[in-house]
Amino acid sequence: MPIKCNLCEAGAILKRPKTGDALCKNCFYFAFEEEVHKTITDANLFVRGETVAIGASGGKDSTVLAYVLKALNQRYDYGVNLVLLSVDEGITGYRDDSLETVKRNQQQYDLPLKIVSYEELYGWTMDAIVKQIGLKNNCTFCGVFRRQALDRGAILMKVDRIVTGHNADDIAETVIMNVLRGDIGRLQRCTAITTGTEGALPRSKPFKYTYEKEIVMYAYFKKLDYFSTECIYSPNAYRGFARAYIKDLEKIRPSAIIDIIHSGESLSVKKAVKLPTQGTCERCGYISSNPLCKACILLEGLNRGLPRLGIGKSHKERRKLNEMLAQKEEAGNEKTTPDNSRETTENASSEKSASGSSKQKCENCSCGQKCLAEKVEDLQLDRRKIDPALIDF
Amino acid sequence: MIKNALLTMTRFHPYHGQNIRLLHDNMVAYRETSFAHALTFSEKPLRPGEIFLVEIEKNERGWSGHMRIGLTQFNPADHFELPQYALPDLHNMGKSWIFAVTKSHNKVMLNEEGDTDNGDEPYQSVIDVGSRIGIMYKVNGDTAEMRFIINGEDQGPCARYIPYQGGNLHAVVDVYGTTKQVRIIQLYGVSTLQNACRDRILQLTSEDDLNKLPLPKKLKQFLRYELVQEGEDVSPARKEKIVEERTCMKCEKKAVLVTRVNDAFCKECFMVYVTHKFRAAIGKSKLIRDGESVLVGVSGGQASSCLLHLIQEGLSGRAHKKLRFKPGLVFIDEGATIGMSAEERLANCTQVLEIMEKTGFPCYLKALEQAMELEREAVTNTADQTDTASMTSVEDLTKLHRYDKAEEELRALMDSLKSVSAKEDLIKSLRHKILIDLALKKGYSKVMLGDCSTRLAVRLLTDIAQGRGAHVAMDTAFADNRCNDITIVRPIRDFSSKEVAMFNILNNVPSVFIPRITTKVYSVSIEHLTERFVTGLQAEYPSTTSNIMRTGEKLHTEKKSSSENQCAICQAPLDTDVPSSSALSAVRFSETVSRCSSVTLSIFSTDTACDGGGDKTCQSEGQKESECCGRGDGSCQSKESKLTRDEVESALCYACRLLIKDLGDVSKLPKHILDDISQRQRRTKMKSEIEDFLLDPSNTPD
Repeated sequence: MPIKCNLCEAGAILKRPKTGDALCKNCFYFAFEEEVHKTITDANLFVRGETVAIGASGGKDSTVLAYVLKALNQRYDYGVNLVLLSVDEGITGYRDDSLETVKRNQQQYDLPLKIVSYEELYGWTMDAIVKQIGLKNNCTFCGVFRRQALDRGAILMKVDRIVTGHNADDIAETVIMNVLRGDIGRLQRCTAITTGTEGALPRSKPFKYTYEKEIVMYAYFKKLDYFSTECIYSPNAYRGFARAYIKDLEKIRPSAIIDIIHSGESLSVKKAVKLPTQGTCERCGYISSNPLCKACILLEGLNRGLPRLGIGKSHKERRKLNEMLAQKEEAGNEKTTPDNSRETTENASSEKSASGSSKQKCENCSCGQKCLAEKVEDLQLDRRKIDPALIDF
Repeated sequence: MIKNALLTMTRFHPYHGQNIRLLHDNMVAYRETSFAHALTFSEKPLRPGEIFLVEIEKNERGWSGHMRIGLTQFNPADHFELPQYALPDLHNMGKSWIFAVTKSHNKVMLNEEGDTDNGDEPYQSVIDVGSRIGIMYKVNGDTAEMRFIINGEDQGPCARYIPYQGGNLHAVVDVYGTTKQVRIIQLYGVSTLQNACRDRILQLTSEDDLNKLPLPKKLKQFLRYELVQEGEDVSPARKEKIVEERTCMKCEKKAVLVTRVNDAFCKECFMVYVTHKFRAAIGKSKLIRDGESVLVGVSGGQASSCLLHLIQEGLSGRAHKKLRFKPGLVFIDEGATIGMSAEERLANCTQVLEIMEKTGFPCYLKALEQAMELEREAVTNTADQTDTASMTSVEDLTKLHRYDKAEEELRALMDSLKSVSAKEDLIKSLRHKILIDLALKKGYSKVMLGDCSTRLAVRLLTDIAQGRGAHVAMDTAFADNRCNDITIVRPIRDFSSKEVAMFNILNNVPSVFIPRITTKVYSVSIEHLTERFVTGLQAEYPSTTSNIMRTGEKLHTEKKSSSENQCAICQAPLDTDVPSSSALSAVRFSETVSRCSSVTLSIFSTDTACDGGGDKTCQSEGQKESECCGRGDGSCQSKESKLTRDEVESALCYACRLLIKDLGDVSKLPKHILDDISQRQRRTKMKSEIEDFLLDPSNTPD
């Protein structure tokens, strides 16, 4: 006997993963879109007249997001300008293919598209990074760089807000991850529907309460064109555990995903706990809880041939960095003109008497480097600030 | 001789996809990177009936799809341009018969999609490491049919009418997706004498016993496939160091155990360490005053037995500084929840009681079904109930039989809960109620529980998974003060389960094993699943438990003063007062939107203020049916009108609402809970009537 749709007379073709109700295709579309609409209106995500960038990867989440937002913008007249924004990490065989999907989407949905690439922003493609770092921590680079790349692209496009396709499963997973890592600051932040309200561009997740399975269903029945291969560089193993856990939970109790988000929302942190204060990066001005943002540290590591700087245990890399700085200092001193070297030693001796040992090295070094390459003097001045920060890190 | 043998060996062809590296004399194919460009071929064409068998040696997480295998008439010796994948590319080039190996590879598979992903079905996975997949063809007149042999089982023909005379058939393996490395299993000819010996030895000796064989180290390594041959990289999987002798980190004596990575202890120092941890936890909290009566919950399990032993030691004259509180012990028999017979329950109780009586502290015995008959807290203080009297003799155990009616009620309640997670959750709350009730009646001001850190880390994650995020801190902190008069303390919350077990073993602490609701089932409740998750992670990342506990320590639960803001079931503060953009309202909306007709909805959706009023309009039909428990059978004899599901829900926290959703009939809940809820209901009604005249709306008498 065919099962009837819960809402209308038509035959049901699916069981909603979220509620377990049997629905027909049209009622499912309706429910799905209404829920996204409610999320948007309840959280006041859109302000009339704003330009909103959709972070588009070509994957299912962002493809469905672009499709639904365009439809809802027309239906409920949010009055926002939608644009697509993609990041090209430079992963051959993966991103170039998925960007093709985004380009097709651009035509299908008739939305302007901007692609920013790691190469133009950082001078490194992911392929090049993987060659340096290997397959183990590459996801750290990609993740950190992508976050900034979206913002930078958004600024280039002069948008007021970014929306991303993070779904309920992703958020639940992040909650569990942050509990496992003991990262209380992120634990508090990760369930917010909009982040970065102060200073940086606000970023929102209209799919916060939407199940991944329903997104796939929506895309499947609407026959949306999306790219579905996983990144060729193996994904983060630890996150994989959390993901598997969430999926198992969902099997036992389908509401578990939303329940976890509820938990995340209702967590309250002890007043005595010191949370990292968010400042801005000294170098690039991006939002950061350290003097230097993670992207700058990673980039610095890459450019200096210490790609592991900023990943995992810092002391080893820090030691290497110190050694390298010391070497450079020597080299610098040797090559400088007598004039300059006198200056350097004077500087050095005065520094020696004034400050502690770790700071000394960097100050020395930046002098040495300055002598080495005067053309990039301003960059070195920059370094004078960065090296101590790196070492603190 | 050996040379001849080598000639008959089956190998991979040296021409292969760019990501493949051949190891072990071309008998192992390893995909170095990516998931594609991993085609490999048999070195020689297959003869009819010859089986080309490979074993999966390594998998790599994160990809979708698995190994592909089949036959092709393309000759790798021609160095033709290799496509990226076997499916669909090579297949589409023609003259190739290739199929994807899937998780549940059963019989003839005609889809070429690869992964059909029937994740839920409990098939033994074909794609796991160690699985052997073979391919062969049989001549049948002018054509041949291809067959798979999977883990020794012929799967029947899967491709027919192969024109085998049209060209030599090479076996082709695409080391694709999750499959990372495969090895050819030699079926024909003896590879080398050495290998033949190895095969024989491995057949006769179990892997664990290999170490004991009187052989040189290198040979043993060879037997374990650990000997590195040229060009081969063996993953540093097992770098076991067997340290014969470790010394205690404190006193240099011989160590008997290792608590954390590098902390080895001798027995004496371990005892000092454990006792110190226990006493420091009590001391630091400054909660337990001299001479205070403390009720200790004993389950008979490892952790509570350990706690009991520590308390006994601390109170005995031997202790350096005597503890000064007065303990009383309680055991709650939960046999009714899994339908144990009276005899079994009696036996369990006797065992635990024996342990408890030896301590000489006052002992109480309770049964979980008594929670069904608890009266509301306000009344209980005055009531004098004889059946809770301290029972110290085994004869009194027969009193348990007095709870026949309650036991039936409890069973009915348990049966009407569909999921094990909900049952477990409810049992926890009921147990808690009994403890608090007993403590109140007998004048105890603290309840002490033997929760260890492993247990609490699991609970923390379980809480989060069940939507109890707001209560995490209460549920896992040293002191839980959700009830106004009684504080629950957890003095061994810094002990890992390993420390507990070691302590019990070294001290011969007896414990009793009592099966629980999840004992005999495989991962069906959220708590059970979480436990597996945490212990699994703990094995790989030893800091897991402490990380989770550290997170818990930074959280707190906001306590609300009036009891009306407490959940009627778990007594935790209500967490349902949420802004319109929240998970709770999103859930409500999802239910509304897929259960009401579009007409109601369009009206509803314009009314953005969704405060729970919305779902009544559409659910009322369903509600009315469950309003009365069982109209006909006369068991519905409440004085007031029956509580509706909505009314009950309003007095519950988010997680307990989930529990109720699972419950077929809300009137099956213990009467005291229902009474409590209906009293709240009346009070809110009263309050709304006089609301206009109240000067400060928040000022309610308590």
